[in-house]
Amino acid sequence: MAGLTSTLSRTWTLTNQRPTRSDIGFLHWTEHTKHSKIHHVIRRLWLLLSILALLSPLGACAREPTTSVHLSENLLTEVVWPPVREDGVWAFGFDRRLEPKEDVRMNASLLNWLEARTGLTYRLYVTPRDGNVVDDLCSGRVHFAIVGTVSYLQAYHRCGARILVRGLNAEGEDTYRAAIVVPPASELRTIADLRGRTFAFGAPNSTQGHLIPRLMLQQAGLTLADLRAYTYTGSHAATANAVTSGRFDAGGLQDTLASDLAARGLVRILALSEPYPSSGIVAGPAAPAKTVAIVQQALLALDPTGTDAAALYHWERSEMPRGFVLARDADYEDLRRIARDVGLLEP
Amino acid sequence: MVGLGLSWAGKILRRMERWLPRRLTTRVTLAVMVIVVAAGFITTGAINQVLLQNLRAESITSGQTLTLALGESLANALVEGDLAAVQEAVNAAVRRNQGVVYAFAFGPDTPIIHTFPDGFPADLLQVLPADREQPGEGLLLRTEYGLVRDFGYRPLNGLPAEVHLGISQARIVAVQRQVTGFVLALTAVGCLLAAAVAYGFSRLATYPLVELTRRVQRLGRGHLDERIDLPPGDEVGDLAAAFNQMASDIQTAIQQLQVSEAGYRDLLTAAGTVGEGIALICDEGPDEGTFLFVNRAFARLAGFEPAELLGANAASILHPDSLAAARAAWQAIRSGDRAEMPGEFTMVDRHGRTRILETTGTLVEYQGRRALAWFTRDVTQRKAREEELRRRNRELTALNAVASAVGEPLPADEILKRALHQILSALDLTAGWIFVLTENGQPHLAASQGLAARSEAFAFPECPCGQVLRENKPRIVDATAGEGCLAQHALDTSGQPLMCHATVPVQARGRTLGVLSVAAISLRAFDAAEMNLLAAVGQQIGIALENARLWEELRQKERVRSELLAQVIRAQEEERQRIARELHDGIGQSLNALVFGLNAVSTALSQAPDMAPELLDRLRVSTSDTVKELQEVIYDLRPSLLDDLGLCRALRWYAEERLQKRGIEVVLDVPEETRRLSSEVETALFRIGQEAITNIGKHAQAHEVHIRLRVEGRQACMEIQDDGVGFNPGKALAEDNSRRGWGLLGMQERAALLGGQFVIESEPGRGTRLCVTLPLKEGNI
Repeated sequence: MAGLTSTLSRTWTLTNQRPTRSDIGFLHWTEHTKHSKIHHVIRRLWLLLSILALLSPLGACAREPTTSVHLSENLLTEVVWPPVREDGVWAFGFDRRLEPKEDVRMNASLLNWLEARTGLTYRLYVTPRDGNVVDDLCSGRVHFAIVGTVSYLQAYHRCGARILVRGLNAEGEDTYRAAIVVPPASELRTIADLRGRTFAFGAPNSTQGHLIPRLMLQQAGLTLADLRAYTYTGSHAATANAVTSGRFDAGGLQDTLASDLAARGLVRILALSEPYPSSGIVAGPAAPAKTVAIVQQALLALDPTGTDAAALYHWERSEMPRGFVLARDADYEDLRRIARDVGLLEP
Repeated sequence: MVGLGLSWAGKILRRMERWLPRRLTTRVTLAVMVIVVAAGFITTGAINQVLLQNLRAESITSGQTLTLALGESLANALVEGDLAAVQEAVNAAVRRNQGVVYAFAFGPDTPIIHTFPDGFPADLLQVLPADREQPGEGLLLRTEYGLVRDFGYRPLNGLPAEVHLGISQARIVAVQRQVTGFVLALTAVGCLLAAAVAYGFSRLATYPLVELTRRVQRLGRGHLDERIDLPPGDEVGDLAAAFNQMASDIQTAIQQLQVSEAGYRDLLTAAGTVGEGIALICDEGPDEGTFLFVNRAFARLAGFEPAELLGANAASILHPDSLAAARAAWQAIRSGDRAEMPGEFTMVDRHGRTRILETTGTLVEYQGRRALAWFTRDVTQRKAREEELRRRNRELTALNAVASAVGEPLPADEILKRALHQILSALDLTAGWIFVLTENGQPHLAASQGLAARSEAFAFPECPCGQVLRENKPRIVDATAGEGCLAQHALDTSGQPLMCHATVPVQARGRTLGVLSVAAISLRAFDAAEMNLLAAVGQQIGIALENARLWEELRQKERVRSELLAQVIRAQEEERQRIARELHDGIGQSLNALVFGLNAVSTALSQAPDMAPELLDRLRVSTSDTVKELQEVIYDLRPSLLDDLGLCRALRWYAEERLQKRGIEVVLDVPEETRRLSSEVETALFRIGQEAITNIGKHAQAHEVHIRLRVEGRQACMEIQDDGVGFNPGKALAEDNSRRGWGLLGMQERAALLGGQFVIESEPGRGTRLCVTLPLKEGNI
């Protein structure tokens, strides 16, 4: 019986699929005879073997295919790289926003959707933590990038990257705002009251955490020199912690997070900015115009809350939860100016 | 599939039959052991199956959980390329989880980080990349350490990063073996116990069967009153009751069989006694068709002794014409088709005589062989009688048909044609003819049937058939015998020459009217019966011809009578016209003159009385002439002399009045004393004589006429003879609308009406003699 199961196992290994009755017959009778009597005997043998295999204690195990592997032989002592797998043609970069694995899963789901939509192949490129997606875009390492406004303005400034689409927020608007928040018990009432105070910005390249709050300060007649101290916390979460903990008198946050915190009584919104064009997807100089047009048309058709919801991974956490609208470079003129003023476009 | 398996198992068991123990006890014990062992194996298999499924499911769930947890914890490190964190995580996974044989992972930009201390096994590269995002059921690996299930997981969907865990399946196999050993041990113990119990119970259960077997053996040795006394209610008790019933049935059946055998022997004996021939013919093997048994009646039919027929082939006593039918009947009996039974075959006995047998048969067992029981009955005489009866019927039918044909009022040709058709049908022939002699004695082919050629082919009556005409004897003529018969040159409608024919005379009232011949295209023996039939038909045809002739004569007379009646009516009209004319021209004018005369007398008496006597005298003369004229008319109509003075004087007066006034000498030989005859006879004779006298006066140009009247015995005869120019009576009668012809016919008809004869003899230039003879009845005298 063991011999039999071994034979069956070898058969399945060779064919890499479940055996059929004809496979068994071919295994035992390598000569292709069509003699009806022999086939008759084979059918009877198959019946008998099936019954015995069912009754055998090892019968159940033998039905699952196995792969023969030697764990103590042919050992590779050098560094072993996994087998190379063919990857997509058009590379997408992205601004880090959440955990790396979440960013990857979310953006990868968009690329999978794009593959199905356009018939082109894509690959997701993760910019190293010490790297910059603008560099990847302008160097041609990636052809497209999912970025915030600052990154777009920098890429446009450096290598003429084109904005293709910009996102619609949860309310369906293609703009977003920034908020300057203070602790609930703060005596500050206007932005002008921030003179001589401490201020927490988010990441230097953050639109809502740095660029728009800088514009709001500028419009109120304040510069960094008017603040007693300021810092770049690196993220909106860190800015919120800095303000709620009282370590800073005020901070610049994305409007949605500020509203949540204010609703829970953790902060008070001191001022809310004008709406400005939201994050979007840009194409680098390495992307051909025809491919850019295909990707742009596909993205405009994305319906994250409807028919395409199942294909996307937690897309509601993105900055474009309701999809995209067409974006024009002129919409970013105000932000480009303040960005230039604050030195984000240097060199 | 199940049917195939059962069939196969049945064949194996039948082949193993000789290897199985013979004793029932041993067989039962062995069967119970086989059942227990089989049950043990089935139980082991079932338990293993259930256990394996559960353990496998548990192992897979555990592996999936561990792999997912490891993947989630490594995802960020794989993205960032943090090799140290990855190495630490995979090491911890192997170290902290029992049964995990290995773990390894790699990211998009990292090498494979693994837990193998001596290097990564190259064989494991074949499990890469994982075939799905989630761990799934894993991939079963057969390694030198036993079965290992590899779970692969790609935590970063969209990036080439995987985590793999290898989990040993040794625990599953160990548990399986442990359970299998336990169940098999239980099976062995159960098998021993079952064998012991089965042996004991089978001994108990088979004891009644052993006893039953002994009783059956005694029954088989002839002890039919053997019975078993076991209480019913169980299988053996029922079997014993069935045995007792069977023994009773056998006893009854044997008794009935003995009675039946005795009856069968009696039946065969009785059948042979009444002449029923019975033979048993072998129906199988090399002796097929030979007699196995014949009874004395059958042997007597064949003209042999029974012993002489045994072993002989049944076909040897059958007529060759009956062999095919006999074989077909035999085959029908074999196939159970008895529609043709009983059948009739012809047997040829020892002396060559043929016998017609009415037979039937059935299949029986005889001396251990299948045999045909052949029952025969000699129906030769019955057949002969039936044939004779049929022949007579056919003759009678033919005669009847001929009689019907000749009995109809048809023309002679049509009667002959029908009669010929009927006799040919009766004799089953197709060709025949009838010659009839005409009035002048010349033969005439009056009817024929089935002939392609007409009478030109015959040389009648110079041929042999003419002898029949002369001798009035039937004759059979062989056209090929060189007797001068030319009938063979006459062909039937199929174009074949007529080789033989039978000829009979056609007679009526002893007179031969012709011959009747029927012919055959082959030489055929016309037997006496057929010749008698032909002769009878010949007589019938003769009578028919005579009848036809009489019928034609009658028809002719009828035609003449009708024409005569018309002539009489016409003559009456003419006579009336003549009388009217004479009354008008003669008597009428005279009476008118008399009236004028009387008027003149009347006028004269008043105006000139002296002329009255003269006028009256003239009137008297005129009236006398008128009276005379009236008397002549009356005499022409019917002379009163005939009524007043009788036939003799009336004839005398009329002859003198009509002939002597014309200068013709009348010699009367009419005795005055002749007695008076009846009115109708006298009228008939007077009218005949009147017509004859008128004809003589008008046409004969005679000088002397002799009239003679005689009443002798019971007849009256009147003869009138002249010496005139004479005439041709036949021609006169044949002429239509001839006054003389009608006169002759009228005389003839008057004589015939009274049963008399009228003869007229005349030739041109020879005068004419007329003779009328009338019978006198009692009342006529």
